[in-house]
Amino acid sequence: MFNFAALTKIILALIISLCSILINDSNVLFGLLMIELIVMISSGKINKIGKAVVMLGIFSLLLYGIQLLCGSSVEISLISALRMVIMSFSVMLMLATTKTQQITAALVKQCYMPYSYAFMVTAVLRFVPDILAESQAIREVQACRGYRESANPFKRLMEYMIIIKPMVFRAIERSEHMAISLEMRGFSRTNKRTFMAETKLQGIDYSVLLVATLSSAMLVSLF
Amino acid sequence: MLKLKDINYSYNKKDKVLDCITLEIHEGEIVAIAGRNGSGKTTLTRIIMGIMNADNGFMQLDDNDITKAIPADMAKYIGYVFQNPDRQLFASSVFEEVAYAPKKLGFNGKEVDASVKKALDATGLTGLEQHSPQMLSRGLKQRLAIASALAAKPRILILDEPTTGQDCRERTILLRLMRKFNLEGMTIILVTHDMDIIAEHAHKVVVLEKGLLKFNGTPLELFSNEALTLKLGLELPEAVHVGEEYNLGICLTPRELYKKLEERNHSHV
Repeated sequence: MFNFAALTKIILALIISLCSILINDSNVLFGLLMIELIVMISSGKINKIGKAVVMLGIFSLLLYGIQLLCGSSVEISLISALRMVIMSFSVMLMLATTKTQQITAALVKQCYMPYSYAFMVTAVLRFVPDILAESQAIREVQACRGYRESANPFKRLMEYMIIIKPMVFRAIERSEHMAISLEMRGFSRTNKRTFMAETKLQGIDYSVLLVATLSSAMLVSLF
Repeated sequence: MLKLKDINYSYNKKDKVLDCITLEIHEGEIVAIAGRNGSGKTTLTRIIMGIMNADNGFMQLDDNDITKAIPADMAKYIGYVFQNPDRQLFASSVFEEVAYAPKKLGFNGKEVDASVKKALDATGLTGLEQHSPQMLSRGLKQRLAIASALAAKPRILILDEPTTGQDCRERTILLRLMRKFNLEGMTIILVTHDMDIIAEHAHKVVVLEKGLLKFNGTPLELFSNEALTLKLGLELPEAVHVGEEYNLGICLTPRELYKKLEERNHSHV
């Protein structure tokens, strides 16, 4: 199931996101969310993305609460929170089950995106685990210097604020190093490139895309 | 005294990183932890600090059970200086960086100021209080990391490869600092690949190989057994090599080597 071509997964993520924007029924959105969760669990990647899933769940609850406080109805608040979480989960699932090289290859070979832009997308994705590791390292240093995680979310947020500045510094430094390293290895906009990653769609990809498109069109027209 | 008994640790409950490590570290010792890359050195120190929890085993600091302690509990007793200075500085100024630990440990305002001043003095960083940590040189960053750990007034200092990437001058300064803290009574646990540092500074060497404790003794005991040293993936210190070449016996440091050479010259005269 997770051996679909990268393009199939990108399109599926887009279809799910589009559906969540166009559907205005919280029950259907909840159903979509459940399907995503089942797929996520069966993908075997839950260990890898479980923490992010929980964090997003908490964030969506916060979003729901803020909307309620700002005077939105329960239904609208719920729909907004569900949309956010469905879109994030679909992209997360796509990223967790696809190699970045395959995403780049699909974007360049099949979506005709210029390589430098496709590379930018994958470079950003490649940075995410680095930045997470960096923030984890700083959390460990803080813990070694007596920091205890507070139950108060605002205090925790303030502690996170301290580490944002050095992380931005390091991200800039890292991107400069990466740019120099790329140029030194002959990276150029004008070079014609080839890709090792296989991107060709198979019969199963076409079938899945057809089913996804038809069922989402039906859902959107019904709800 | 820090006591570790039958400490085991594995990733995902299958890949063993530490296998039944039993170890005692006494007050005022400099203990070097050596071994090949991936032998479990850093993991062991992280378990001592409470950053990681051992799968099983027992740890004791004096009479206190610290097996399940978290880093915030250990911060009062142990200062931990990580390998990469760039990854352990996060405050906007040198003062704030050093003051972080005393503040978190509940020191009052005067105590915070005093401990920051003392830590900066000890590491030669006085006058840089308002500088941004990110703008310091690598050597100063490492010293700042040490000052930040010292400000909590720990009894034990863990240094994870503190001289990696440092120039000669900073390396010498760092080693002098370590020696000075030790003479003042601090216990030092030093993770290093540098055999010259071990020979010159350590009271005890612990060598790990694939998570197993393969050697626990003095540098003299280790380096006088060349076959064992090489088998454990280590190298003999330069002074030992030269000493053997000139039939001077085991000389751990250039100073010892010089002394023995001088003695031989005098006896020839």
